[in-house]
Amino acid sequence: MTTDNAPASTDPAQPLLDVTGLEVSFTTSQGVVQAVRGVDLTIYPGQSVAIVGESGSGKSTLAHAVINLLPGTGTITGGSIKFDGRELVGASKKEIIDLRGRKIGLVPQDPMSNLNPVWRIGFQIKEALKANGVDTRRRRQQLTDALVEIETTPSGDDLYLGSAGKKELLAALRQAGVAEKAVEKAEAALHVGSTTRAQAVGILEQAGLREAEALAAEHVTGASPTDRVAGLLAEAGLGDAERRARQYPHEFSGGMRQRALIAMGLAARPRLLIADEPTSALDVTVQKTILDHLGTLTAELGAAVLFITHDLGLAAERAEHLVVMYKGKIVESGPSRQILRAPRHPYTQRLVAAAPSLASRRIQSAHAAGIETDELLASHAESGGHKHADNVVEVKDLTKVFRIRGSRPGTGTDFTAVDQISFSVARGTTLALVGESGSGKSTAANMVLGLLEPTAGTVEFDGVDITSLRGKEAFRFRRRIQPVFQNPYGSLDPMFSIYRTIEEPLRVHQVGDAKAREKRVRELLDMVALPSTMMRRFPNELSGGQRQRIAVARALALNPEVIVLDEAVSALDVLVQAQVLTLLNDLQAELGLSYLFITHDLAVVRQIADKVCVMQNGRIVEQGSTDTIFDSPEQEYTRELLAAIPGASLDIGPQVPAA
Amino acid sequence: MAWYAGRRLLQMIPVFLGATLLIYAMVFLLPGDPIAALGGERGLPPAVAEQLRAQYHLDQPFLVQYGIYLRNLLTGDFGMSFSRRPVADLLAAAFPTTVKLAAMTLVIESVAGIGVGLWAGIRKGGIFDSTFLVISLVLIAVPIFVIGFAGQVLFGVKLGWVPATVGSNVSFRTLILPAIVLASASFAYILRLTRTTVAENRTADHVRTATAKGLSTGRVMRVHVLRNSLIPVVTFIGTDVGALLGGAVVTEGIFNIPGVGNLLYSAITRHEAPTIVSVTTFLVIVYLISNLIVDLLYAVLDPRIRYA
Repeated sequence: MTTDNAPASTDPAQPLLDVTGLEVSFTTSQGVVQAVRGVDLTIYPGQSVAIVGESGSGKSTLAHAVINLLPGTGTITGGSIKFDGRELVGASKKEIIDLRGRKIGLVPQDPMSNLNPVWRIGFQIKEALKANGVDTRRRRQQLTDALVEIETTPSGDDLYLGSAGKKELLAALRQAGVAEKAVEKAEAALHVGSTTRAQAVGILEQAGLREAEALAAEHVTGASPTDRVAGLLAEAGLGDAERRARQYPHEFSGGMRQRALIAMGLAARPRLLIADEPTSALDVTVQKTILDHLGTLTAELGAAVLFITHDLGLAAERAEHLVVMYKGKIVESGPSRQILRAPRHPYTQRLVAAAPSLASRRIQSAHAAGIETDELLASHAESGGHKHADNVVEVKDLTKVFRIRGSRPGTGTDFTAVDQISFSVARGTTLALVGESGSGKSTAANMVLGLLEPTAGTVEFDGVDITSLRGKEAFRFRRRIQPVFQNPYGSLDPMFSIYRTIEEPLRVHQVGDAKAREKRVRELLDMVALPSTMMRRFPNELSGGQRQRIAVARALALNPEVIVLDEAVSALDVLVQAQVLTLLNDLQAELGLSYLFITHDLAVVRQIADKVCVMQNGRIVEQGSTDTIFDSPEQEYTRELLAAIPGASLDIGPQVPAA
Repeated sequence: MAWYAGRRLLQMIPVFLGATLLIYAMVFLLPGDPIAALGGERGLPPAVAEQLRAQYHLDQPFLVQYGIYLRNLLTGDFGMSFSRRPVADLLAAAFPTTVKLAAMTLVIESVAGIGVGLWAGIRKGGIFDSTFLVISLVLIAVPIFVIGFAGQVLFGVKLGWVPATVGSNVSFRTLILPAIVLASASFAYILRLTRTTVAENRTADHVRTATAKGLSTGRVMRVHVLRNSLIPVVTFIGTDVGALLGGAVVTEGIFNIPGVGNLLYSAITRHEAPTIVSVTTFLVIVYLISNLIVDLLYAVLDPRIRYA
């Protein structure tokens, strides 16, 4: 880890960012809302700090206040923000613009919406270079005179390999009679726009060239902005960067877009990088590689990092210092390990107890220590009462093929989303279908729900193939299996009152009269632990957790036997997530429900599932009991998924913090 | 892209056939005898009338007439008007005027609409925004002939800034007032559309990211807000191109502009079937082609659009 390339003004004892008594408020129709209330925060050069908190805790607002990007009516009403000794509150617009990108970089939260869809990736990164005066060509001119001194600097100079230089170097290698294999290796190692002269010397020497230094001096003469963009993308871990830079955001996957955003945030080599939930929208394995990469990259560049996250496990693993925010205030801060081991504030204690990644780790280490784990789980359903092994759902060789339109008639291709999968859900138990996005798990769920026609295979519900059901039978079948979907904001009709939302399935299936239905709605609200006064309200007045409870109540309305939970808790904050999981467990024990639990989050699986099926590319690659999968995974893919749960490197004892 | 364009061109064939057949049938069914009307009060001698009927194939059944018409059209023959001038010549004389008027109108409505809309969108809720919202509402609500006559009386007659009518003197100076009148309604729509999309895009995540990169406010507005907001606006302007090239019957009538709209109007009043059908057919083709160009332009503006 070289930090010697950090700017000379850096004094490790002098804070890079010093926030004191910061207050931010928003003006709404209901008056002034204080989002940040007297926050102190200090970040030293090269340090990594994570702010942890649930949504609405003010953590993102704090970060946005630092670079003056508060949305809408947000204003700083008090306190000070000092960056490198300069006061930012009340600074001129020009000063702030100078700071953005150049001194403080931002990696935003949602990779899907943070790139402009109409411009090529390369254009958007080049823009950041130009705006911050990182004109690689001009700097090359300035550096020509000082070549001798810079040659030996390990990194940090802007003298990068250009695309023409790379071709010349490879030609020179071939001319010198270097074996084709070594040339290919060098070709892969030499990154246009990212490899510095000194690095090139190393690579050339490794390829077996003697006069490497002279060659490098001749051909590594600086990169054009386009080359530099490719280099930045390569540094952010994107393969085939030169071609990728010419593509549009919609041609990128979520992980690739996040890499592009990281390249963008680091383009002008800022001294502080704010990473606002940089990976919460990504699959776990992608999340891990990207965070690993971000970590090494910022360490190499000597940049300080401010992580904003809701995942305590991730925060503790990636940052030295933790800051816990709750309702606009910092309730606790200190070294990460210390906070995890001995949280002092009650809120932090609850957070530590609820974090799925940590809970999962605890179980893991408890297992290793030979301790019985039942009491560690949220409240695992007693499956003893339903020991008779009858399967309520039986899926056999289920296949779904989608036709993808080609660019011209007759060139369409088939895409197999679900490929001959078989599994069964035993009555009164929970089966988790785990996989990354695109693995086909939601498609499988939709077929089990009878919402999607399978291409081949059967779904048997209580011994009856549901694909053969027509008309009235199909209608009756719907009563017995109900879904709860991921996004509680999208799955409730905003024009329906809560009463109407829960009552609708009863009315559709003509259950009872108006009076009986109202009684049932009250009962259901009670079941999901919500007051019956909620009936008259509308979804927009409810929090995410409350909405998801409403969705569960609606699913329960018809007394179904099976509930399909499609990422039902993924969008919720950890504490709320824990509450909903406990509720689901309780309901299962009480009503003997069977769950088909679809998720990408293995940490949650550990807390709720009896059996796990791991899906990859439409196939089930491994299935077994939860303990077997977690303790002795057979497939490499499963192991990767498990390793990607944040907090893997943390050493937490098996003790249970008081919840 | 080429496949898409080819398919769209093929789709134009049935549209073309259907449109011409429909127009032909409607003109055929118009009450009154055009040949008799030609003779005026005294009437034509029966022999002459008969000869004229044969010349214009008016003695044949409807479908045969239509067939003959189509055959002529395919050989580039747009037919003859009753005043014995080829319809193609009439069109060639009128169309350039309409194109001039359309071009001026387009420039006025786009520049003013996008400019005002951008400003209103940035300052949403301000005085400028509110004022132009009211103005645009008035422009949309008031029929074009009212705006046309009012403009003509005020600027042409009372103030005398511009000629009140165009007549045979087609120039930038004479066309400017009709162009402004013609642009008024579309200006209001473009303003509102731009305002809404700009206001929406301004709070988009990617715009915040662009700002965080350290770009100047001006560049963020131009490259990230305006550029993205133009996608729906250009679509609207594109559909307007077809409509404008089709001639503005009312405006051309008010200002006596010798364009396609006027040509069509006088042909209808004279029951001149060949002229009506030929002019309309021509307009159908113009409309189809301009629509195709707009659709292809859409893919250039928005790289996410894939034509297949």
